Amino acid sequence: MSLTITEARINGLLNTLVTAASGDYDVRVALEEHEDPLLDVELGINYLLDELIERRTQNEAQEEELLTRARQLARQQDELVQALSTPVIAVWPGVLALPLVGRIDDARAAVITATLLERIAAERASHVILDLTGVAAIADATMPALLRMIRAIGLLGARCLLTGIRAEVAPQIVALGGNDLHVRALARLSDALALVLADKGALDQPHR
Amino acid sequence: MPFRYEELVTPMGRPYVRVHVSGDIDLRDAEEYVARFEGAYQRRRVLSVVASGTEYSAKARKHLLAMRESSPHATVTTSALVRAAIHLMTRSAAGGTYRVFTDEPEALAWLDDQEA
Repeated sequence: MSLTITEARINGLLNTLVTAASGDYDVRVALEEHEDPLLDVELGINYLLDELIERRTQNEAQEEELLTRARQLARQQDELVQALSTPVIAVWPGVLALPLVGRIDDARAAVITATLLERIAAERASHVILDLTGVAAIADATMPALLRMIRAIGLLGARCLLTGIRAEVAPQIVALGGNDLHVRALARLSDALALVLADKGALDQPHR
Repeated sequence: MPFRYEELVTPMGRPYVRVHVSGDIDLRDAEEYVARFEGAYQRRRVLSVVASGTEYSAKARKHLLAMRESSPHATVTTSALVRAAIHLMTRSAAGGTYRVFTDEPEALAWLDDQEA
């Protein structure tokens, strides 16, 4: 079969291909009722462009779905981390213990304080034991945050005790103004619990 | 309705379905077409008369391509564009005997000669 193709049709095809190659799939080959096999090629290119648009739409929808899922997972992770970072434990009626782990910055201290104060109010707690066993170093921002937390606990009428202060952490606390805390510090959480129970008359007082 | 169906008999007395096709064919139309030819019209000879200006959406084309057609199918059209569209859709179709005509009596004679 011999085929005579005009330059205009070839240019039309090439322009469509070049435009599509730049990412614009909305372009189409202009079709006319030519009785030749090139029409199949021209139409085939238009069909291919239809398919590319459909695939791009699907990809965009999948990408949006993945982003939504990622945001949802990040939110769940934040909630989980927040829950795990403030494990307030009722060790005795009216006695709460909070093991602190890791770095405590202003934002985290605010979350911990809010959670803790809520529990103190809800359980009418008389004592709060802050256990620092998991705190390897006190950052500059940690000490003021800790001071604010302890003052807030005092304002609710609860007594605060510190336990588990590591040897390397104690000088840092002093250097950062921890002397002003006016709280009782004990070696272990069990010591603090024994003291509190003795205060409450539930146990013979082992410390003085 | 882009598809209009008629149940007819060829000059040699063989039953066939004549389908008149026109307008824009979308996925829903294609699904209805495939359901008919995989159901009530299964194994029936088909003569489709496709009007100029008939357009198949991308989803409709894909759905029609997925149809497993085994009976003879003649398409009549005077439009080069429609013929090109049919060529592209039937090029990758597996099985089936398919031909495109410009003249309906000629298409019907061919259909009558085919073994269903």
